[in-house]
Amino acid sequence: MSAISPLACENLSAVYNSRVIFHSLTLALKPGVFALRGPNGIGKSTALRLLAGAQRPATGQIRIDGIDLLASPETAKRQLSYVPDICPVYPFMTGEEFLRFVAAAKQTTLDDTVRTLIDTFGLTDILRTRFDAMSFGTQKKIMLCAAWIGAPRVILLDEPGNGLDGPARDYLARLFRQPDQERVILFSTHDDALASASDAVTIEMQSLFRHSEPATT
Amino acid sequence: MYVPLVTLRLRWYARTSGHLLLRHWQWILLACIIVPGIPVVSLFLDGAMLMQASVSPGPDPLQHMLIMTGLEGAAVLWILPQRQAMSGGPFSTWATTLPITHRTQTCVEATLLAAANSPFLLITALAVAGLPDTQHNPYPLCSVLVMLALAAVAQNAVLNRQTRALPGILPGNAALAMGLATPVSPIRWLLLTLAIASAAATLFLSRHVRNPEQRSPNRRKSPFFSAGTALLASRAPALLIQCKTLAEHPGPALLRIIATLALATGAARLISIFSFDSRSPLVLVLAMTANCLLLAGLYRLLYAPRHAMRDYLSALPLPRYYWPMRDILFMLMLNTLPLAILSTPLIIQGHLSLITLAALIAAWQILLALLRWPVIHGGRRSLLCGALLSLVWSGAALAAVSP
Repeated sequence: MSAISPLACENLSAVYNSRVIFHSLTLALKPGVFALRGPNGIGKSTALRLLAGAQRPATGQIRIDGIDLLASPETAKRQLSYVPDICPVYPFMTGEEFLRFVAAAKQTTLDDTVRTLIDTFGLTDILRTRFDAMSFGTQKKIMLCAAWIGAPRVILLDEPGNGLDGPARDYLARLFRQPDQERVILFSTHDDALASASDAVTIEMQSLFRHSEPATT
Repeated sequence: MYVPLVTLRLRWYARTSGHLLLRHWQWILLACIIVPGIPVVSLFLDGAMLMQASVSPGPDPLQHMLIMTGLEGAAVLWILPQRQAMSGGPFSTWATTLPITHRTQTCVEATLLAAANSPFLLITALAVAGLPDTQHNPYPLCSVLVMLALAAVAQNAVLNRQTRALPGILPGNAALAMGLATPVSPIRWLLLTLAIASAAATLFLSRHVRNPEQRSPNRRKSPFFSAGTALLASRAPALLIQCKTLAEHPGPALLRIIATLALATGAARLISIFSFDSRSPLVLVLAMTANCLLLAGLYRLLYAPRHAMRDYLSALPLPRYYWPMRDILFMLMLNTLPLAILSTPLIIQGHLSLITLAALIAAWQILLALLRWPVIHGGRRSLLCGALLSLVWSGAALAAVSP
């Protein structure tokens, strides 16, 4: 196991339209599965966006596998996947086009893990369907498959259970539980069942601000 | 990675800007009608001539600078409505989490900028083709290219919401204009180099200056503003929603309101210059009509956000015409200031009887209320329907007030 935290951040602040969303968020996670919990509006989605590099923090530092995300974004993002709570994919793209695009961006191909995910989620016949013709749950499943492309060390998921049917949710929990000595999976959720079925360590969002010491788990 | 990414972004751009074009085709039609000469062709030829004039050596640097700034302003105004199409949508934000190199992203952005500017590039090509003897005297050609670069830098700053970097292109324009007014060759080239350096510095600033909201996280709203908002929230929540809706689009909303006020002031001044003679009713009625057409665009701004939540709103216990009536009243309230500007001198001078003036003002407000229908329900023909309605109204109003 590597000694470096796959995912660490220090003194992160997020500002939107002159409104401070949060201030001084600090954490360092060792490999494992973590469920980020907290009341609505506390900034869970914003924190995940910042950690994924989708939004630039007002202050602070983020390290993915020891690499500074702000200083070397491309190298850091090779080790990172992010699934937002909504599906941001262009409506004219098909599932296959999207997955191949992500694989090209990560300079890899769709490996067996991803193909298994596609099969298990029952997406094989839907891959050539445009995103605007898919249900939200199907779109979400494809986004989840994309997250495993390139075997990233850090997977960030915002409300991954939303929109999924029961079997898909169970499979997702099983996927989270699969032992991986190298990977951090951090997901935000209000779903107690998913968090406990995933054997996830719960991180309360408030605890990341309250202490000056990093929340190392 | 460039090819797949640029293909996706161009597809999204074509789709989004296509919708934009379908919504605003009337403005293009209007531009084709207004510019004299062969429709469409003269738009490009006149633009090319203007560009040639801006780089033709001449003694007046101020004139060069004015034309250049005007062309750059036109380039910025051209790109502004395309910002959403250029941004790439939510997919683009998500794609920033992928390991795509900075160079690839820059190349994709540059390609999109070129695609969005294709009419401008055509005008530039026509201007360059018309330049005399570019082989022996490459200076005007280089000036065109530098001017193009300055315009692209200005557009880039606007697209990235780094408007603070915009004044940075003015030294570049000044250097270019002075170079064109200077007959000595080495100094000319030096000034051209300075213009390029100014463009590069502005580009650097627009890429590296942080957004204002990130720099001032603790900016507080004034107590007066908060108290006003709280009062409106308790006494007139619909009015607060309308005000905030317009505040969400400060650019188009302010532009329309300022334009109506300027128009009313200008018309009042013109009527006074005409000494309230027979030309005054024509000016008055035309100003009223133009005012209504300008203000009516705000109906769409007020309507659009509510349209997105119409299902939820329809479940609320509100009267059927609650929002249309509120919007009309709000617009009539906005129209009171231009109304006061236009009517006060007429009342003081007494050139129109009070009854005629009151009837005209009432008819003016009715026109503004009626214009909601074509703006909201006119679809792609909203401008055409609105213009026709206004035309009929102005004809009737002229007949009523003409001596």
